[in-house]
Amino acid sequence: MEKTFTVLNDLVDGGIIGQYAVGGAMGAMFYAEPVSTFDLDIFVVLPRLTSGLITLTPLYEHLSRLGYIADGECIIIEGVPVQFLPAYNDLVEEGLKNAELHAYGETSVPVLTAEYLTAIAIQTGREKDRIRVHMLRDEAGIDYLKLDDILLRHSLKEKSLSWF
Amino acid sequence: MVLMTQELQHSLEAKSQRRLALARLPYKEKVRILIELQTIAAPLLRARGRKAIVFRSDE
Repeated sequence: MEKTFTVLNDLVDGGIIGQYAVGGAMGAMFYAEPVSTFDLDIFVVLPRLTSGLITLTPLYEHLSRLGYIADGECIIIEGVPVQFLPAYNDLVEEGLKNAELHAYGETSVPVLTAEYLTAIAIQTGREKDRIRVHMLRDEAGIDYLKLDDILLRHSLKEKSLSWF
Repeated sequence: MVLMTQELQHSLEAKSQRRLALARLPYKEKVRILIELQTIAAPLLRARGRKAIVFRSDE
């Protein structure tokens, strides 16, 4: 897993991706108890092509040249299925900008904060997101002032009322 | 209103404390636990036709 993060950091250093942060269940695990999951969700800022389009193709081609194989919606990096999710809205973009560095062995790993993970889970709105929100609420020491600010600015406050 | 026995209350409290203790573990230790969970779940998922790759361990 540490090698996986090293490869991701190399992608940033090499300009292949702009910025990344761990999200999803593996992101939540930085703050809460471990739960079963089978992929590593990576939110990523991708460089725009001259046409203005954003595409994962150059990233996948680069990783393929390094010997990493695509498998469904993931690419296996050092034995870990990684799913790259381009920042798809303002909330995720803001989460990426505010990601915090955590240590994993000798490697620094940018991770979405517990507040952004909670807000993104509420916005996504699946049953497994509800479970994640409850776990983060009980275990992550959420800063509710920060969370409230995020929810208000992204029009999620009303939706969030049934989630806590 | 549901009244809980002292025993049940104690049991729920212990469960909650256990979860908090797990949440406070170092991330590497959580990943080790995750890989154990994946190792248990993967054959069951594969038997149902779902893909399940167990993460490569750091060790």
